[in-house]
Amino acid sequence: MKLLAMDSALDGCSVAVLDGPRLLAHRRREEARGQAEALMPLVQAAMTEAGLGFTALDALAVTIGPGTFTGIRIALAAARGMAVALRLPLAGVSTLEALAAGIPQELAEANLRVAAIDARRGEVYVQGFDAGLRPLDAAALLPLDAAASRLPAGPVLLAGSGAPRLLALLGSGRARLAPGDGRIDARQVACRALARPLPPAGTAPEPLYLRAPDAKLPGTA
Amino acid sequence: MIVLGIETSCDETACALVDANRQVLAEALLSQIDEHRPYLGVVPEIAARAHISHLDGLVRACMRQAGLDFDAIDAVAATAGPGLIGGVIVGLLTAKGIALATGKPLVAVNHLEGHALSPRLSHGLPFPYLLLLVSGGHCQLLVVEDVGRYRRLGTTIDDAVGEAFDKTAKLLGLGYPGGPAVERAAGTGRPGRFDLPRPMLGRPGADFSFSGLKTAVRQALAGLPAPSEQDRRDLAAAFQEAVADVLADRAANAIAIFRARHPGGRHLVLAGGVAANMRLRERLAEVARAGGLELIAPPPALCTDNAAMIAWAGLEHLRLGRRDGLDAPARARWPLDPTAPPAAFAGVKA
Repeated sequence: MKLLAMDSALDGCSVAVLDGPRLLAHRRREEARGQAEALMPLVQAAMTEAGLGFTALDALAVTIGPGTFTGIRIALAAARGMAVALRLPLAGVSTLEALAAGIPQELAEANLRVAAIDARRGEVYVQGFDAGLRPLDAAALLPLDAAASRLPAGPVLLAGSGAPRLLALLGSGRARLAPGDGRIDARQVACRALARPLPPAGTAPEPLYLRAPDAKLPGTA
Repeated sequence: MIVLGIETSCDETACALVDANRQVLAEALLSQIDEHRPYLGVVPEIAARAHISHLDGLVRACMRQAGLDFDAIDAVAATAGPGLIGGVIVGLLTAKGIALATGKPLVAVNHLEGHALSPRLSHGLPFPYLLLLVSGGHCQLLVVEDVGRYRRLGTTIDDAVGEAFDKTAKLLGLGYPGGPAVERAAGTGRPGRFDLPRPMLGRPGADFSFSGLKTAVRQALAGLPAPSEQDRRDLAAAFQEAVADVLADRAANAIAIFRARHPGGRHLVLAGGVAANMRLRERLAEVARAGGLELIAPPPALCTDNAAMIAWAGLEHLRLGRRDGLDAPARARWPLDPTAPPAAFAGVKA
């Protein structure tokens, strides 16, 4: 099973090419700006390094959000275009699941995992997962205090850009920060896509925004 | 030579296949008018969300309609600007994905150039010609000298003409989109009843201004204690006549400049969504005739935003050996004539 995974939903972008569990190539770029320009050259470089033509791929995977609205759409538009051209299945993976999957398994064994992404305006995108990465609740956009009070009982490992602010509310008795830089990596996106059945080719995942567009109806304040 | 074109710079999601014999092999277009209507204007984030949900399906539909496989196409062309950046990114990245996956060249197309070259797709028009581009985001007079060579003679210094129609429709409560609504109301209105200004009229050059006209409509409306349906129709007609006078006056100046520079040039092209207005067409045909030119207006489906013109512009560039890298940027602003002085509101869709 040869799979190409992409992400550009938060600050930066990354690409991974896997053959089953084996990583063939990986690219990552940290800058938040210029993702629309940087992503496809990274994909091209990773495929070249992997020694694969696009027709050798069996599936594609991409993050669907939550994240920055434009960032979500950069990799998702590219992936949906590739899926149509190659007639391949395209798996959508949430950024929260990819972040939770980035917590090292040996640490996560006895802990619940909570992924939290800073959504600004005092809110976080948040979701809890058990040690087997099964979701404990639905991904949600919540004010920080509501997110903190929704956390499951028991020791919690926090991952993502919203983790430090949640920890500040919870205190170190209930939770601690997972090691790592809190960024999404396409490797985790690929692993999560491979952990369940692929969707049929010809279907496409929709973005997971969790926040409505900023738009005011005429006549409203 | 067959090119797949993608357009997502404003509120139409569109895809088309065009060949070098000027045939549109397939076309799929989804308008977002219903999504934006409650806001009486295009909301950028709503537009971008609609583009990503529908574009890949339109591409698939186009290929099926033409009975073609991706092997059969020679390039993928997409609007890379100017326009609403969130939407432009969706179209450009979809095109990059298809181009990289199939090994076909990518051509990043300037949306304005799509409009500018559209009469070569519809009419096979030779260079050079004068172009009046009138749409929701633009109002420009350009000399189209060759593929990639455009000289701007004038542009709006405030609102685009389509924007003026939308705002006037909003003021008069005529609905959205404003262009067809104002034209419909004006059809049974008396243009002579209200005396509206003609900004820039009689001034040298070919620049436009419409914001004062919109203000004058507001003031005229405020002067009516209880505006009736007929009052609104009369104001719509007065507004449309004022716009026609301004466009005709500016176009006449541009024609003189164009004829002096290009004595062999024979055509004035009217393109952009506002070109669908029959009254404006009539007036510009008169001006063209008086100036010794023939007015050419591509069919309405090629005047409003569409992907066939993007595919065609991509094809014209591809024929000249031009293609773009996978790092081609999406641009909110992208003037067609880099030598023209920057105009604050030219080349911007908002």
